[in-house]
Amino acid sequence: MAMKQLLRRHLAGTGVDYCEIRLEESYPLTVVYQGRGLDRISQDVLYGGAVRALFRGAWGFASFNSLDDLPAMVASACEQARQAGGRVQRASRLAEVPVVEDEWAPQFSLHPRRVALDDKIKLLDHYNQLILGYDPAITAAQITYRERSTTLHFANTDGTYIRQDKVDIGANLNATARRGMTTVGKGVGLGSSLGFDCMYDADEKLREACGLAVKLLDAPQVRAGVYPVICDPEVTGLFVHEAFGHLSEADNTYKNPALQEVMTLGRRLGRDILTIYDTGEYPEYRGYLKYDDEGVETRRADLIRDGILVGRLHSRETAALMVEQPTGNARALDYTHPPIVRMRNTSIAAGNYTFDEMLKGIELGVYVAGSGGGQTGGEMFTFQVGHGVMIRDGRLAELVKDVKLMGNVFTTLANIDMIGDKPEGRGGAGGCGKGGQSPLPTGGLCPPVRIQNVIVGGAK
Amino acid sequence: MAGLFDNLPRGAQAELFVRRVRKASVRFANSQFEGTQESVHEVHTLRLIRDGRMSIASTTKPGSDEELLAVALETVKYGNPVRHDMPGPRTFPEIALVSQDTRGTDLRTMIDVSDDLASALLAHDRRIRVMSGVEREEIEVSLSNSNGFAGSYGKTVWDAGLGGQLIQGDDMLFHGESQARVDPGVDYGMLKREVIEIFEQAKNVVSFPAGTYPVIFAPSQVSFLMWPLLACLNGKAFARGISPLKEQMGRQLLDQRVTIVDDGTLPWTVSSAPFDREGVATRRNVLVDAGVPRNLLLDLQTAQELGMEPTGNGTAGGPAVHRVLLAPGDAPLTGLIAGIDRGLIIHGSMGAWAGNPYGGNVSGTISLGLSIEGGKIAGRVKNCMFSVNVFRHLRERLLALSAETKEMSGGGSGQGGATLPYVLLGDVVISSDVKQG
Repeated sequence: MAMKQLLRRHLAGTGVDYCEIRLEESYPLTVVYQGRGLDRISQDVLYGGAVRALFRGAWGFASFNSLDDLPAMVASACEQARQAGGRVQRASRLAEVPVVEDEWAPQFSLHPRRVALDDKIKLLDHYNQLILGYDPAITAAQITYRERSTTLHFANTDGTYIRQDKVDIGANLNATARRGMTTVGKGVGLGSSLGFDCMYDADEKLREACGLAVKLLDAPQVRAGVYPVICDPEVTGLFVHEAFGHLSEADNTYKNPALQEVMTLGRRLGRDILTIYDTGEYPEYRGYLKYDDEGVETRRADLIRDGILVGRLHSRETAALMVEQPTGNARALDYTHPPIVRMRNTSIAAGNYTFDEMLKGIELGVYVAGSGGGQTGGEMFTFQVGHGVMIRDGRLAELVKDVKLMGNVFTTLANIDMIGDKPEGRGGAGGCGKGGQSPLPTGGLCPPVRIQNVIVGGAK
Repeated sequence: MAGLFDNLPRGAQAELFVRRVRKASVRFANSQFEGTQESVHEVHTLRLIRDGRMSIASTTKPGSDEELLAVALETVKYGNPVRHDMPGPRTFPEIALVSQDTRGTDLRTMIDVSDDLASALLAHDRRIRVMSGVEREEIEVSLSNSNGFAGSYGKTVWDAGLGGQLIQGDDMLFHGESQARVDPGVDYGMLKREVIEIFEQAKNVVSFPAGTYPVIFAPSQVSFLMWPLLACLNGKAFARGISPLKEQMGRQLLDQRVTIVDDGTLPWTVSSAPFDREGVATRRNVLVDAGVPRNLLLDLQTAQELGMEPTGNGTAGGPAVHRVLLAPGDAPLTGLIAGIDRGLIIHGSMGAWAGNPYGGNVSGTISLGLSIEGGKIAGRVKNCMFSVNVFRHLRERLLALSAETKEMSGGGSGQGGATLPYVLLGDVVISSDVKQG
């Protein structure tokens, strides 16, 4: 209650068209194992705030660490907006959204701050030992565990005040196998917005990853070429995030008529089987979000429905300028950044095909599994996958390594000809990067997909 | 500070690193003025060694150093085993890293600079959605420890960038360049020329069949060729048994023209500092000398583990570079292009950072590549990917290094960076959706 009154007091009488204050207190814990043992443990306190002001269509932004600086920072953001007001060509404005007063926390399954550090270390030690003891060819374990518990206060001049408690947990458990100059890594990603229990029971998956790392030492590099590809749910998730999700972020589009034309709602981008959406739902994944960083309640945003482009991801500003509805996608990495349009849990709706049905009819192709990161630039995308398995005459054949996929998003979406019936979520300690704000927790729920004519990079 | 260290348990060592950054930035996007930002942030990071283990805790909450110590004491029993001591009192040569001109420049002037950059590209082609920006930072760093070390330095950073996006149908072209300096003396004319030249050269799209070709990597892309080498020469990779170069030190690993140096002592260079994050003096460190790996990047911990001297490359996350210098060659870029009958020059790529660096394989989607035909730029290629093995290509397929070098910015706030020439490699695998005819 005291914080609400404090923020409202500072927002009163700013004399600008709109002003908002975010205050954040976060407790990040990072534990890293590298090589054969624990490499780094750090426990931090992040404390600070940000002020954003809008005046005659221009923004000012100021961020700070000390609450004592709040009055000066409110004044700074407002003054910046006033000074900039005369220079903007297309004035920013905000879509109307309901005024919210809420103090909200998810139903945490096991809040990480209720688990003793001793128990966390014991569990990570166990995974470290499991990796290192799996096979003599495994020379190193690389484990990154990150958790962050956050209390966030948001208030704006519309009258909204929200206090949110959030949790983000992400972990990568990786094995490195080495023989001479050949090294191969494989791992397991875990993550949740609900609790530390996502970290349990990973032994079986981890043994599988270790086994693959050892086998991949002897696997050849994939032969470069154009193939039909079946993506596992993790690679599908990466594809939909990198290739299409970023293009759907309206802050790329709203002041760019040429891109608006490319992304005209109603354009057919895929076959009838393809539905892509982004949502703040799915608390078990890292993109779970009740309110975004503009105090807007999140909602599911359908992006492609039955193959047709039907929507995009919005902040209040982009929604107003494009005369569409806000979707609750304005997110800031932390108090040092203003909110920009970001994804949450970006997903592909499950289809009707079994994995065996997807294999059928492929004379020569690649099954790709596990993600190693990706990047997008306009209509082009690329991503590294954990490993590949050649498909020969409709059956899985030999392992291949160093597989990287690339393509044009429009061609690739149109080339998705089968969608699997078993969606899975994705975890991991990483996150999304955009505009210098990384890593932002995101996730998704995706089935395997089959794509024709994918360019695969590799050996001659 | 002394008070904080006075409260340490017997036998413990502690180090407090304080970094205060005052930042102002201006941004134009979509060919329009977007807005300004200002911030003041201070981070206190405490490292504690007790009973042979180390923990780290940091806070941005003012006046909470005692709380910081309590957190570090709570976690230290789980910390990583260490055997080194924190350094005692010492002095350092001064390095010029502060520009009063940077400090004194106001937001209005920054807006004018950014506006001028944006206007130049827009004047070249009004279809380009232009983005430009200027960022000014004043950084103050202080480091002290319970063994008597106390040091501080200031730094200013002026970072100017210009880029744009040109969309024609479903074809999207992005390109941008930036220059970061201690002072505001950015060569704005060169920045404009470089960006405009790329948009001009890339305006036509040409098809490019899959195959193996001579490829010129622009300095921004040479960074990706350096990545596996620097990862393998990192003391941490050696100490943890990950680096495959352990048996290659002192041997001819690469072509004799490859000399790689890391230097944290260069004046008026944003990546320089008199001492590293642990209080060890920075130095010029020859990593690869005429193709022979000679030295590693070492912090206190990895130096102790490997029985070597630290190289002043300590950071909070292990050893890291200051400024990587790849020795240039003697051929002008125009000569390299003129000598290629059929090949590519790569100015932009995506995903080349992904994957496992220790095997040396680097591949990326070419986001901005120009086809070279008969010694001349023919146009932009699309839907192509490159693959090289850095160890093999820099040993057996290095055709030339350009005489020109370019300064590449690092990870922001003056951390890391590189000065690199263009590199011409032979037999680079290019995957493409166009089959060789």
